[in-house]
Amino acid sequence: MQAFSFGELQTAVIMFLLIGFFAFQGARNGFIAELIKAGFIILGVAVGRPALLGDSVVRTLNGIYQALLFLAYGGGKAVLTGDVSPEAFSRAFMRVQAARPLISPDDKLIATFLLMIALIIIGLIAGNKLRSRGGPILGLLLGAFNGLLLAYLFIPLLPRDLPPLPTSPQAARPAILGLLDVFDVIFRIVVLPFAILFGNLGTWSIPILILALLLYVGWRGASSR
Amino acid sequence: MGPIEILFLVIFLFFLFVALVRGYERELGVTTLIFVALFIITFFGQKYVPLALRYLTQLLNRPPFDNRTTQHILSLTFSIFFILVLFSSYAGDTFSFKGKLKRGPNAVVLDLLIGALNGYLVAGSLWYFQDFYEYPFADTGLLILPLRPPAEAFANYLPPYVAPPMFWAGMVMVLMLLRVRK
Repeated sequence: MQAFSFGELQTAVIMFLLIGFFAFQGARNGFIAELIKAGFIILGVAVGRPALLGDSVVRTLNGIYQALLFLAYGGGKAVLTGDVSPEAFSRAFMRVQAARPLISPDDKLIATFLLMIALIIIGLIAGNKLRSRGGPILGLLLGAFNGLLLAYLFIPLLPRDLPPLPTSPQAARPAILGLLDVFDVIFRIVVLPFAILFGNLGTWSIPILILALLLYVGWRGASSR
Repeated sequence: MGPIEILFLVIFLFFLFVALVRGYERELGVTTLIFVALFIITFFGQKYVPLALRYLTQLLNRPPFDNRTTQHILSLTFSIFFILVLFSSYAGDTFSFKGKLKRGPNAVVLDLLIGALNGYLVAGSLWYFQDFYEYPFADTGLLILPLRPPAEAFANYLPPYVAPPMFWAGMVMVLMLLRVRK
């Protein structure tokens, strides 16, 4: 049997704590607040992934920045004074083209990551401001989902001996890999405590546990008709 | 379909929810029949069905099945038998226990415990029928192999691996005693 490492145990504990904390917050804040939180988290995730929204957001921000530079480098003055000569515009364009973009290709990853963090923080603050809206049970479930999403996002980034989540050998199917990783984490959480317990005590402890459970239920909850 | 542990999780969660809806009193009846099925399969089935299969091929005067085909047939036969027993435990007038707890948090805890046990027994047994016969279902392409590390670790704890056949018979007796005790 492959033993679960200490790092995996840490991962599971952190995940439990995150999911539990967010589920508790969700039950307290209600469904609507958690929905807003979930919306911002999902938006943050999309912005954090270049292939989803990251590249578009970077292009848009660079475009806005260049438009502002154009205005600052003489384009605005030319429009205001009525000097709309091609020379004035081309001078401004040349300076804009020579200027460094707001987010260079080297900075793209860190910038989208920071944007993702910012969106998530905005979502958490906005969600916590909207207390007592909607049902607590749905809030709890959605809160747990938010916790799972955040754990899934950030646990691989923790700078310790946390192992990277194993990916499927079917690397040709990248679209489902993220989902598989989430399932993998859930499976580990469900299995890990038992694996540690039975790994130490031996497999014979499972039948004993089953027997104990049935006797407990028989004693506590079930009786003859 | 995907990795087998996902299938396991889905079935496990399904039984957890079913137990929450039906209550532990009714689910204990299902547990009893699962034990019966496990005993029949592991004590008689795995010993006699391969012999019967060999006898049948001789009777029909045809060459014996190759090893992989035999694995397919046995795995499928036991899975279908197990699912039929499971279905019968839910269909019609079901075998159930009478609870004495009022519906509330304590009863919900018992629902979850028995639901988890049933989920483990059902999903674990179906997984076992694949694992024991070297995953014949993977030949269809619906199951992804090799197993990922957590699944490989968990495959050691599938119900028929952790207890001998007589244990399941013993469990049936324990449940029967609980059912009839005054």
